Amino acid sequence: MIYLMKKFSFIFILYLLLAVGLVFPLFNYDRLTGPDPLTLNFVFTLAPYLFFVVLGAVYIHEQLEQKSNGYAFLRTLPVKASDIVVAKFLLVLLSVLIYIGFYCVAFAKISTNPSYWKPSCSFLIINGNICLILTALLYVGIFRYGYNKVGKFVVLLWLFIVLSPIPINIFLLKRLGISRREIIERVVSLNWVIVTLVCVALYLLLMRVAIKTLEEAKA
Amino acid sequence: MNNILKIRNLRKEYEEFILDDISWDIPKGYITGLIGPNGAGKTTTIKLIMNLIKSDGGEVDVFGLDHVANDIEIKNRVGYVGEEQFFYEHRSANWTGKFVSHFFTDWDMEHYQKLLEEFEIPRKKMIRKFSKGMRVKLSLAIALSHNPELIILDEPTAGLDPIIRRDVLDFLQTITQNGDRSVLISSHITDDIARIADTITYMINGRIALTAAKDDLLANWKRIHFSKGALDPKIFETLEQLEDHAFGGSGITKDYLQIKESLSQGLATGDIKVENVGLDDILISLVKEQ
Repeated sequence: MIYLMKKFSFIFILYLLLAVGLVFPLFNYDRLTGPDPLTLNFVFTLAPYLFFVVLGAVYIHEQLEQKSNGYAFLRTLPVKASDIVVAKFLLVLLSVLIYIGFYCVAFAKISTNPSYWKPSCSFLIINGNICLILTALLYVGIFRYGYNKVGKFVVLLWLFIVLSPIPINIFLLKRLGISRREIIERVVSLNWVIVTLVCVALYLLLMRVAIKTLEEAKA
Repeated sequence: MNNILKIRNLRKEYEEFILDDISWDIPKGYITGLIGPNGAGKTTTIKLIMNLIKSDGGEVDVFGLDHVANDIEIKNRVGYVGEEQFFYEHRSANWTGKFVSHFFTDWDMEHYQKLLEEFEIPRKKMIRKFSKGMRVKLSLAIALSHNPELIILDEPTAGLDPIIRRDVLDFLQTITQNGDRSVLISSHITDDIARIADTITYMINGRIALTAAKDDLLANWKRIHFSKGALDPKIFETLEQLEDHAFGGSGITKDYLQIKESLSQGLATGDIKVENVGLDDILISLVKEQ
């Protein structure tokens, strides 16, 4: 299974490097140095960017698997469907953890005020949990209906997530007079530990569903 | 005779094709040829044996093990070359060997490297740039590098040039010589099967039409040429693929050893002549019979 993870990891590493390691910190460094990072675009846009990294990596990875008939090849080998699925799910979990871990450490290093960076971390963790559930559902969909059908939906979902700050900005922030701080505070007011426990349990449950779906996905 | 593969009442339904109630045994230590026209159900049967598709009924035992419950163990002990060869296209043969070595418990990397050399497969070239023949050979190298007890090949010689084709067939014959290994090879190129198989199974329209040892088959199936009036009407009635000529006719019998005595007089006078038939003549006969 470790070897499968290694094989599948290329795209995930590439996306993480692009998003976390190189581009984004440099691009956003000046925003972190503001008086209150919680109110800045930076924290607010990190969530969709997390979805971009993880869903994007899964989308591209599955596209490559589809192109080279990866599943058909693996089926001819003595590999359990559970090993394939667990390797993929662990990679997603690892990517989310690295992303969140990186930015939480960055928040703590850059912002000296815990009342700024702690809620920022909570916001990111809760979004990470949502991302896990969405990705798990995506895998179940791919194993059940095939990449070709689910792939289009992923593009739409991904576009919605990436572009969602614009309608949120227009409708919520301007028309309804709700501030970014309020949105973040509402999300942060959820207990991130409980949310994480529930979401990880749901993630594992969906992983079992995905294993069963892949096992049965034979013509 | 020990059977390495036992199939009972195997069934698979598609919209336009039904694999109907297949029961079939494959003996250990022999090369079994599966012959049939395109669309007869050869690939479907092989995919079912390899648990690559779901059956709609029946049982498949490989090495005495249920093929679904023991999928991993069976794949470890079976070398499989499919009709289509799937690989990670952007990777090389070297990488593929390393990758699959992690899954087979008895992988022999040295043997794999030797086979790559023997088959003249480029080690570092991307697989997507491989010809059809190279892909088959790579698939064969993988299938043979984990010490399989049973080798299943689905149309392996299609797309290979005659020299490589001959090499592959000779190689298969060599590896089964000590009786430890068995081979199931499907093909519609009957020459290949005739060259190496010990037992032959004909599959037509999703059914097993005939199974027999190759030598028995070729000893019993003969073409009989006869002059007018030289043939016993009872024998005449049993002949297939009858052809009328100006001075007589010809037809195929599947019971030559039984009727040989009755033909002796005609054979002596030259009014009856007996000719060997090929496996494809038998296939045509069986197709017409259906």
